[in-house]
Amino acid sequence: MKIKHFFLLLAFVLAGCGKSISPVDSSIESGVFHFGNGSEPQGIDPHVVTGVPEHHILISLCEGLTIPNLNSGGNLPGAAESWTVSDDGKEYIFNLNKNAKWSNGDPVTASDFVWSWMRILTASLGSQYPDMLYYLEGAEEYHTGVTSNFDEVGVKAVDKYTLKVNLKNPTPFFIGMLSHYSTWPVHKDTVLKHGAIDDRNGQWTRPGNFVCNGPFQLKSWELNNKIVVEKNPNYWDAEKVSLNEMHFYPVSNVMTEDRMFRAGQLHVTSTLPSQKCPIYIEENNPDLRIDPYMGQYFYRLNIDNPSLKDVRVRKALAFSIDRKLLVEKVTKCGQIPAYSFTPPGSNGYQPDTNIPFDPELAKELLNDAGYSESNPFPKLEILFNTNEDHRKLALAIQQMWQQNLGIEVELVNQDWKVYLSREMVGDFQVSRAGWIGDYEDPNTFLDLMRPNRGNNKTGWEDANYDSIVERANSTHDQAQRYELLKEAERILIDNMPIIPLYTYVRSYQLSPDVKGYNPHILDHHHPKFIYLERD
Amino acid sequence: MITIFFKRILLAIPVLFAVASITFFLIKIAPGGPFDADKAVSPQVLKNLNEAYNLDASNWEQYVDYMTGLVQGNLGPSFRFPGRSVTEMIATGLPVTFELAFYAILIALVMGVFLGVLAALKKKYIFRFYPNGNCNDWHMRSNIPYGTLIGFNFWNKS
Repeated sequence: MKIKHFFLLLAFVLAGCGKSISPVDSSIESGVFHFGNGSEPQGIDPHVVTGVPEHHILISLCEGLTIPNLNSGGNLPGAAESWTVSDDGKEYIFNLNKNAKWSNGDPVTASDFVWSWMRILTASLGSQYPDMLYYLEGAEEYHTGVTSNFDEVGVKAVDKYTLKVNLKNPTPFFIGMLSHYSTWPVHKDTVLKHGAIDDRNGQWTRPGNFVCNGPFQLKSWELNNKIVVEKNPNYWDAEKVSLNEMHFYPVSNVMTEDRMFRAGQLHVTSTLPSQKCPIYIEENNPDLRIDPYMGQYFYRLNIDNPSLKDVRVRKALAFSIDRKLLVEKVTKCGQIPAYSFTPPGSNGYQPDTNIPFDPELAKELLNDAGYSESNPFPKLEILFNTNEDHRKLALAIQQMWQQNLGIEVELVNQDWKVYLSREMVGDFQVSRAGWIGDYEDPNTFLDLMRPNRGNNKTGWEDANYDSIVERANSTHDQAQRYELLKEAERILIDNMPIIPLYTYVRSYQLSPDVKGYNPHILDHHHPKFIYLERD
Repeated sequence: MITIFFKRILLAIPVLFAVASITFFLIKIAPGGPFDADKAVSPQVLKNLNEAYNLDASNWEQYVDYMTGLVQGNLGPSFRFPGRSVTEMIATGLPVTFELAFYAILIALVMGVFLGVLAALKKKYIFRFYPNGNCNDWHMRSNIPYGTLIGFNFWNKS
């Protein structure tokens, strides 16, 4: 009798383990997209926040003049249905879509954009991306307080649905920049109802208050738990939107996220645990996605450091690194060895620089610089922020420099803030760095190394490089412009203030039910194109 | 008993005051600022941000501001989450913390009293059980010392 009870109990327990319906399964019916979003977003005010999780939510809620292409490449019409560029490349006329509406039904007008751009250029708002609009005539002057008259800024509402933008220089990547959320509009009346134009903490972003012009609207927001957006019936292209809702989960622990995905709670993950990537590759995991990404992992060299002043030393360091080995044995997730600063293929740009792996040549260069066995190179420090992946890579490079050049290398890991401030004041020799493009153009990289750029951080200044990049960005013809940028890139690599190591990839997991989530070099995926279908 | 209770409460005020002050200045001494990021912002933007959060004021002024706010229960706006106040963020998390703490104490009390009594009656048993225990459940591991603690207290008093 007792045994009978036991089996009965066992049967109940096992029944509970049977195939249950997961959120991903039920989404085929309900059209709910479950999105692993990394961390809790700072907020959803496009002019105040920074960061990637914020982008994922904002791209569903608001729409700029243009939207990213399903695949990489030129932007598609968004709030603007068409645009023309003047012959000198400095004047843009945007014809707004007359059906475009805010989520409360108001029409989206040219003056909405003028007001929104005035808001982000208002210094007291403290936006971190006003320089995205510095390409406009008078924008920098308005932001820095040289002028207080917004009429002098190159953006005008010609009529209700026509927006005229005047740029300082022909900026061939201007349309591309419009997919950055700092250029997106906000609803004037809503913002002003809950605060002033420069109020960072206005309550207009709360559920119930929030109004914007994207394919979805804000439904609910539970802090550190879930953000829900639902289809916006007022969106001009609403019939193309297939999803009914998107749920964003701030799962910052990558192992938890991995488990949630495998349990069918997420359609897409924000990233992969780095130790799992090689395993998934080997298993041919069908859910694994490794997409090209416009980001570069590199080392900064401090030019002002006495040991690194000599370009021969910097080249010796660069030439004694076996990049192939780094990606095959250390990072192991489809990363690509980097031989230029700009990732190749950024909007058709192919840099032609090369950094050989040549220990003999490297040794010779170091000898030429005056270092030998009798006069060994002083101990070198690699600075990085505390992180297991950075450590592994630094260990490999430490060994390569020790073996190939006989240089003693010390690894110094620091807390994130300490690492940043040491980089900022130039208190380092070699420092680990990464850079992700803001828009699809090589300028988002090459601009970094110009003098007086806050993110240069190497102390390297080259007037020739600066003037070539400047000239390139005043050139209207794209082919000619790329030639100039390639020349700048050659100067950069020839001076080696940075050592490129590898090009990032976007590695994540995606449910096979998800369609229309194509690889995109900036990792922009417009939710309008996403739909769920089980094969 | 009541006097002890009030004495304790009154004593907590200067302690909290000292802790708040020390924390404030420790944070000020620590390297880096709230707006440090991979992509460094321009000096102009940094200046705007510091002005927006009154971080350009003198340390002393900020300290007075902070302490006044603290007394009034206003901890100011969050730097990390614009649009939210620190008080609001704590208020969102507090109920969950209370709930967890409630159950933790409940379990600790029940198990603690039980194990404590057991320990009092059979001294050897509890000392043998703890180091040899194969149970990986964290409740067990963390509460047995609790139990002995509370239990021994009861036992000593009686």
